[in-house]
Amino acid sequence: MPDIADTEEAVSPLLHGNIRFEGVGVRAGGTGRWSLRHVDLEIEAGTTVGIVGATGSGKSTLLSLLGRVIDPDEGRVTIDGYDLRSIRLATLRSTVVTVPQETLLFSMELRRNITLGLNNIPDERIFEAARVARLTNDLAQLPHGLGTIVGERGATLSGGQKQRTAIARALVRDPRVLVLDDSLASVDTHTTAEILEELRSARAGRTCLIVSQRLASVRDADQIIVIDEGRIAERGTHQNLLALDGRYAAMYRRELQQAEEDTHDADPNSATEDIR
Amino acid sequence: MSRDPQTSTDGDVRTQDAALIWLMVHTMRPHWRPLLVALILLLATALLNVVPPYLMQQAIDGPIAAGDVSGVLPLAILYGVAALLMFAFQYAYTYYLQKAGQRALADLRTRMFEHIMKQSQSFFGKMPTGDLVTRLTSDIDTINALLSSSSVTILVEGVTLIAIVIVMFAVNWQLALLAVIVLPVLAMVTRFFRVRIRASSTGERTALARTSAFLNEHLHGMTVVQLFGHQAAAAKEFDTFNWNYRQALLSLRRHSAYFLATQEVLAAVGLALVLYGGGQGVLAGWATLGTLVAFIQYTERAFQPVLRLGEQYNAVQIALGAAERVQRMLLSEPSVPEPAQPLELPRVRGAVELRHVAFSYVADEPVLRDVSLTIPAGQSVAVVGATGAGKSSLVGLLARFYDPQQGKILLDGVNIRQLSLNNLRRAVAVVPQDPVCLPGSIAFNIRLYRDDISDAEVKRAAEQANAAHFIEQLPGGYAYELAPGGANISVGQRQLLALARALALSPEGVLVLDEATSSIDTEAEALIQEALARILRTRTSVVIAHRLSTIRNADRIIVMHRGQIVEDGDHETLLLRNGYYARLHRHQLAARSET
Repeated sequence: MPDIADTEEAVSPLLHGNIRFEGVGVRAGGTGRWSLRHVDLEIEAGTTVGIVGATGSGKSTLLSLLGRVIDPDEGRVTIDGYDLRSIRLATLRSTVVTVPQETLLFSMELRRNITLGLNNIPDERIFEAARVARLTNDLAQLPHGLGTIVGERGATLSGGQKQRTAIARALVRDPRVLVLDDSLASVDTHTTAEILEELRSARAGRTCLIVSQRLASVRDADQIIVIDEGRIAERGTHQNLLALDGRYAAMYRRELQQAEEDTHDADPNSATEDIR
Repeated sequence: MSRDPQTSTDGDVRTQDAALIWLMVHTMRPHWRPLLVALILLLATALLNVVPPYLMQQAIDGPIAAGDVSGVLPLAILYGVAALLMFAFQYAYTYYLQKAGQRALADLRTRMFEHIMKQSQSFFGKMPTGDLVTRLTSDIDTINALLSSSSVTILVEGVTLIAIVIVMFAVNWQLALLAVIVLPVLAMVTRFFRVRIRASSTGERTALARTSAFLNEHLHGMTVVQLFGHQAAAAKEFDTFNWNYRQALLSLRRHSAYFLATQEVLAAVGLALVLYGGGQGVLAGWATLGTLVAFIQYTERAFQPVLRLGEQYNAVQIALGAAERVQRMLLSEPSVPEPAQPLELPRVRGAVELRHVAFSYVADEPVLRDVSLTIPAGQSVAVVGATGAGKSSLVGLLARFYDPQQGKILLDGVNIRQLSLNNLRRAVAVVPQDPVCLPGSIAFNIRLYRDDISDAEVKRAAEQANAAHFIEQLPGGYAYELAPGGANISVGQRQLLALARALALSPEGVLVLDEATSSIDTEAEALIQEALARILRTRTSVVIAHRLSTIRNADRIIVMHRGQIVEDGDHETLLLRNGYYARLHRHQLAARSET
């Protein structure tokens, strides 16, 4: 028997996206070590949470609980009060859509890669998802547009194109809860900012969880949590965390310094003009 | 060999036979000693097969007919000795044959793998991993089955058949004629089925390879399949592959079943003829009772080889298909071949020149058109441009991941096609956008199979790349074991490591770098920028740049657009031109351009 499966009493409620982590702990595969422990977190429907922390701190583990790629070993995760384990998997996974860290495309048409698992999606919806994911220009450059067959594991696309395709794949499902697990890592900063802006304006009550190495991607979030060695080390808004002058503030200072070297003479006023 | 190794609709029967002979000769030759011993033993076994019925005839017509009880004993002892000898020979030839065969197959697997590693990037773009794995494992196993069981059966049974026919004609030619009269019919039946079985066996291999390619991809992507509810569609698609595979197998089995049944019928007809004719003969006096008994045994024995050969036929046909696939793979030239007489560049100055270079991955979809570019030794060049402008292809050509269709690329005045790939890899250091980490220590990941690189050189490269600091903080330092994919260090640290690797493998050559667009932790980012600024000053470098600081640190900027160089100059000049670069720059170009 698969250890993650529907129970007989699994329900399919209409979900809004209020998420709660209650005393959640996850053991690292097969060992006694906890990769996540004592996590309590409340995310109101329609808000955005930014999650930051070092490599291996437990960010991805936290996110993989939401799509039930794994189940917690301790505590529980709920949506609108329902324990995730009591919701039918198909319902859960159409409500919570995750863009995983590693982009996986299949050797089939780009269109099918985007509509993976769905049927009869009108082209307008695909184009809209592609627009928000900033994939429109790339489609125009590909030899057969949406009909282009991507190579094995997406070998014919660049890293950024692959990730933006994966984001379009999530967006075309118009999920209540969108989870981006460092999904913009290969997308350049400027395009990332555009995509995040699009997501904000098109959000309409959508709950977002965003893991990122770049603080710029999370600074506008309603709540930011810093994860360190499997625990929530800091939480608050960007301003709160700066005032706290802890880990987040230190990360922010380093990133500012970096950004200054890189972008101080860019002209923000013309950033919308298409240069291609 | 211009044939595409991927086309699995296989060639005609003759090329498959030739392929098998070629493979046999090439792979068995180094192991001829055990093979020769096995062959001699095989022949002896086959000849011994003729003895028992002959002894039987002698007993019936001699001592038994004469009522001489004591005369039976020596014949019975001889019968027993013959049986014992056959057992001993069988054991010995199986042993020697396996010894030769398994060694040869191990060689073959190694050769295949080494051959695959020589292939260019475009090869791996075309060949699904699952297909390659099938060739390396299942196809070789099939040939193994042929070597270890089928070929033995065929040889033993073949020789036995010939020996029996000779003995039969020597003993009684009339009865012998009756026994072999069905053999020509059998030959025709075999010819008829041969073509069908071979075609369906090739179909079966192809279907299997496609199925494994599909499985490989979907098992790898299982998380996405599950999260996005793709299970039903994937199952349906797998059904199609599975159905095709099943049909191919059924067609193969149907043909072999018909073939075997036909043979059984023919064997029965042959036996009936001997019984009827021999009975007449005994009554008419031109055959003895002992001869008839012996001939019934001979006929059974003669058909046993034929039947066994028929059973093995299937395996042989499948092996022939596999042999051809393996041979095609081994004969397919890498599209980036080693020069026949490679030149060596003892020291690299680093002057690079592209002359009228044109390149496309797919015919009629040019990626680079007539690109000419001269880079003096020591100059650093930043390549910028939008997605699809041809930046990655340009850099890939410099590293000879591909060869251009037109024009040439010179390094210190020498066409890079004339350099041995080994020499070229030392002369041109490549840092890819998504660096790869292999499981192993940090030091191993820096020197990467180049044992001639000393620990001191590894350390120096790490220092130059600004990687030394983080490495020394890891438990064990350079001995720290990386998890597959480098999962236990950060993305930024992986990039520092890749830079160190390039510097270690090519301490003075041309640096070709595809700057990562990935966001990495700020600390690593600063280290990379600092190292890069330093390296760009000291050696010829071609960098696909995504960051303004990298572009500013370069001596020269070239702007690519739709496969051509549209602007060329330093930062100030290009800004003054107020063209493409100036516009890019205004739009925070560092951020804009992905690969």
